[in-house]
Formats: sequence, structure tokens, C-alpha cells
Amino acid sequence: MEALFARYFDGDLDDREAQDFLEKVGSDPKLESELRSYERLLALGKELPTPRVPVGFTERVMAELSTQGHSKFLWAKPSGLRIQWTRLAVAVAAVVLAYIGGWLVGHNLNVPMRTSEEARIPTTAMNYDSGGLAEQGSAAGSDFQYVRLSYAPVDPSVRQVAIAGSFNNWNPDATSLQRKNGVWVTILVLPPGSYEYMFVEDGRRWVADPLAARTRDDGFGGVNAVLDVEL
Amino acid sequence: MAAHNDEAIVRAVRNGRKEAFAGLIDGHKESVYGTLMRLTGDPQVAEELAHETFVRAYQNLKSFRGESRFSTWLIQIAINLARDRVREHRRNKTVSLEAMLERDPDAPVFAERRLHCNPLREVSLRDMVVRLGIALRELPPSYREIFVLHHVQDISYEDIAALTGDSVGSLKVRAHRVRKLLRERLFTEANHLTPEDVMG
Repeated sequence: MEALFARYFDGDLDDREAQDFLEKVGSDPKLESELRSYERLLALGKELPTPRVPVGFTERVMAELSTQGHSKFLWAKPSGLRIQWTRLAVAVAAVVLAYIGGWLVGHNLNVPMRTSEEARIPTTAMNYDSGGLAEQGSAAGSDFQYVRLSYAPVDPSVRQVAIAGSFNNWNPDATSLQRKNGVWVTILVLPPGSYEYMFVEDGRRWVADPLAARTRDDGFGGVNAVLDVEL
Repeated sequence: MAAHNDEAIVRAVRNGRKEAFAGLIDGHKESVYGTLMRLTGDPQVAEELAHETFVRAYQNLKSFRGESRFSTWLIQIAINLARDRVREHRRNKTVSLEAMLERDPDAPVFAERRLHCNPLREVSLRDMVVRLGIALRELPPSYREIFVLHHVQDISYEDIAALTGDSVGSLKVRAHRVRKLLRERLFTEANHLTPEDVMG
């Protein structure tokens, strides 16, 4: 009988066997009590509390990783050629965006204001009517700020641009930019604070915003763009 | 955390965005810490091993080929670390509880620490959950492991076998033994409890 109990709780009895087992158990009060106690035990297992992760856990792990430098397990040592390409790309992007920025200054910006209720969902990319460089605005009574970010990739064949930053867990799939007249734009809804971010081209190439007001050392040999949001 | 998000973040980290790894930690720390807390029963050890789990995952990210879910891969690292910790602590013991139970499945594991309670006292569900937690901590680690992974966290025997390298058959034998041990511990007459006392 003990073997049948084991097979029953492991789901190894077919329907007929399970029926026979339950009929046999039901005819014997002792066996029925045994079955119920097993069922209660497994139910108790589901009631075990979920342990709470200690505060600051993520930060402590990341702090240790930052002391390790670039892991030899993860990345090949960057070649000199690769570094030069990166610098060149950033420089060209800066020139192109400076030109686009000058063009946009002469146009009326029409950022659609949202209700405070809609603004309760941070980091949501919204539609826009016209492009512009980093621009902020807030809805009356809202604790959030609308931030419009624009980006013009050096490579015109780029098919997709996203933004990943501290506001969306650095998830490159969370917030896409929309293309408008060759410029990629998004509007973020963010509470006041200081955020670091990068643009991600085609899900592969990470580029710091060349027109960011300031950048911050990422601790791993590169820089992140910094976005300061104020009400 | 959705698996496709994991893949995107793994890609980002591999492309040099080390800080993106924080997203993976945030997405999986509850599962990893929770598993280790239940396996070790010690918050300090659980945190230490969870920390080490993520550090090792980062260091070995290149070897993660996406054949399994990232969450499964993490749990595998966590289980291995918990097992290593058990081995370290066992070095000074002459006979392990596992070995004793292999020889005698009915060995009185809880004999010296039975909880006695007043039969007239109403036993709440909460009391029983606490007692189950205590009983789990007193179990041999491999028995605790199968109960936690299969009966608490609903991981199939096949998946546990893939994670641990044990055979499905041996896992089922161990699961049966641990159910029997815990049932005796919580519901036998020695403890003056019946299933009805607990949940009606």
C-alpha cells in the first residue's frame, strides 16, 4: 500500500489505478486519514512564506561586479580599431545632431500634454507630432515630467532605436523610439530624478547620447548619458 | 521576468553593458534567494549564496547558450552552491543523516526533537506552517531539497533531474521518504495532531 501512496502522489497511477486506489483508501478509515494527512502536508508546503530579499541586494552584487572590471569570460579585449570606430561614430553623431538641432529650433514644438492619470505609468513612449531635442514639460498637478529625447544615428541604415536606462532596468526592449524625418524620437514620462541612459541601435549597438547635458562614468570603462528631470 | 526580456538583457550584458545585469538580478533575486532560503534555512547563508549565484552567473554568462531558461540556469547554480556548502559542513561529521536513511528509511530523524503540544490546544494553520519550516530545517539537505523543489516550488522531477544530475527514480524515492517523514513529524499521534486539527 505504501508503494501505491508514493505512486499516487507522484502522479504515476493511471485513471483506473487511481480510482481503485481511492476506493480502497475510502473503505478504510485509517488509510483515509493517512491520505488526508499527506494532502494536508502538501497543502502546508504551498503556505510556506516567500522569503524577502534583503534590502540593497542588487546594489551589493553590482558593487562586487564593478570591482572585477571587464571579465575575460565575457568580452574579448577591445581592439584599437574598434575604439577608434566608436569615437568616430560619436563625433559624427554630434555634428549631425547639432545640425538637426539647429533646424528644429526654428519649428514649433507641439508636445501633447497628457492627463495626470495617464502620466502614472512611467517610461511609456508616446506618439508625438513633431520632433525635437531633449525637452521637458509637465502636466498641471502631475508629479511626472514629460521628456522628449531625439537621436540621429550616424548609420542611416539603422532600422530600430530603443532607449535603455536606469528608469527601465536597462531593458533595451522596453522603450522604442519612433522615426520622424530621419530623427528617432521618444517621449518619456518620468518622476523627478537623475537617470542614466543609452540609445540602443538595432538591439545590438549601445551609444551614449552625444548631446546629453552631461555624462557619468559607468565604472566599466565607458560613460552613460545622464538625464536630470525636474518639476 | 519574461524569458524574452532575459535574453535581451543577456545580449546587452554580453555587448558590454555590464550595468544591464542589474535587470537580471532584479528579475530573479526573489526566486534565487527564496530557493536558497528554503534549502539552507539560514538568511545569512542564503544571502551569501544568492550573491555568489549572481556573481557566477555573470562570470559564466558566455557559457549560457539559451538552451534552457535563464531562470532555470540560475537555480541550477544556486542548487550547486547549496550542495557545495552542505559538503563543506559535512566533512567533520562521521555519519550523515542521508547515509543513515539510505540504510534505514524509517530511522527516527526527528526522534529527539519532537514538538509536543497540548491536544486540547487549537492548532492554527500558521502554527503548522511554522512547524513545517522547522521540520524542513531539521531534514537531511537532500531530502529538504526534493521537498522544496518539487512540492513547494512545483518543479517537475524531470526538470530537477536535469538540474541536479540525479535520476528521476532516485528523486521519487527520496520524495516519498521525505513525505513520510514530514507526515509523521506533523500528524502522528506522538504530536497529538490529526489533519482535521489543522485545516478542518
